[in-house]
Amino acid sequence: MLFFAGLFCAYTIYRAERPEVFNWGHQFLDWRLGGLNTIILLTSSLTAAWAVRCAQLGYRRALVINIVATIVLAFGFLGIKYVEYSHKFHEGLLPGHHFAPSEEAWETKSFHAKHPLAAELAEELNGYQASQEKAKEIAEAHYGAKATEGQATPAVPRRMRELLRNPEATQPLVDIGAIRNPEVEPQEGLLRPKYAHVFFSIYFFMTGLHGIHVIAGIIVWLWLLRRTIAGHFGPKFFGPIDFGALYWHLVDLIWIYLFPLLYLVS
Amino acid sequence: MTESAERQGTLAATGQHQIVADDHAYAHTISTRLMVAVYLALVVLTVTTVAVARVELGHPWNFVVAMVIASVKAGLVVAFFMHLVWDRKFNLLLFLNAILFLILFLGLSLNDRSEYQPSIDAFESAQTAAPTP
Repeated sequence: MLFFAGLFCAYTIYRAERPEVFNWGHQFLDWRLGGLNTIILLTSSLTAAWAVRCAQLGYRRALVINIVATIVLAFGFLGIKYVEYSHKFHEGLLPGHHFAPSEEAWETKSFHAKHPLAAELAEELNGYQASQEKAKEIAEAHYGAKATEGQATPAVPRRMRELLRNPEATQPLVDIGAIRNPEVEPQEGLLRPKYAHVFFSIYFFMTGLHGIHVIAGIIVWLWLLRRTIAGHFGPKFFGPIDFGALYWHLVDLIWIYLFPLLYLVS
Repeated sequence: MTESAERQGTLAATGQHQIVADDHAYAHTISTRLMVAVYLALVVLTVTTVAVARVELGHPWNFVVAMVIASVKAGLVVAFFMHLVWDRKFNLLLFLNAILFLILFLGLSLNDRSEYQPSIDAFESAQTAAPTP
């Protein structure tokens, strides 16, 4: 608990300080995979509790089945985590210096699905910026380096004007820190929050430390499985199973908090 | 048949009934029905928290609801899977103590952090004003 408390503290401070970073970052996390992992871990907690019951009552066969089920579920959890991690590595969503996302938050599928108007406005703004740069190039070719601002400002499309006046399109972009305020000027580009990489530092440290605990749990369960098969446990002696299960529930507890904190930011 | 009676029966069958006399307080055997009920409640709460996250409730409320649901889930796991309800009350005291200190830790850190806010703002505006080459 103390171990994780430090990380939860880092999370709390950063979230209080820069909420837009968390709104920005969680667009890249798939709540379906996170939710599935939550269910997997809860199920493994059930089999762990069941294993304790079986040990207390001396049901050896059922005890073996429950321990094996717990181990299989733990591997399932790590498998999904592996899929998630490899996606992040692929998309350059890494902590600290290695942070080089290949996709911006407003380009993600989840953002498109949740805020279609805002995603459209983001595309319009990007398109406008591109046309602005092109106009600038043309103006510079015509008038030399002394081209003025006015000569390089193309007309703002009507659809974009509409979207700029619609809070449903602007507010989600403000929330993820892509624009500073709803009264955005057409020529302003979209921004990535300055501390966006911190989200992934926190994400990888918290889920990584949790993953290490899952691996340690698997080792504990394998050891308990060996001792069960050797016939060490029964109604007279089931302490190790109980303590192994207690540890396992603790791992589950941490995930119960990590899931909404990282995947369900809104 | 009650849980303890069932257990007595099993123990008697295996000839190990001598140890049950005083271990009830420290090792309670949870019933299958309760275990599955707790599990189903946990799954339902997980679905609820996902569903609620998709509804916009206004600034702090999404966060508050998510944390309340997570705490109810944590409470269920601690109380039944980790059999705290059947343990000595001293263990509950220790557990609540740990939570109290966690809250103190987070609260004091946040408070300290906000005390430094002015110097952080000054640092950041100085950085944007004169970016290093």
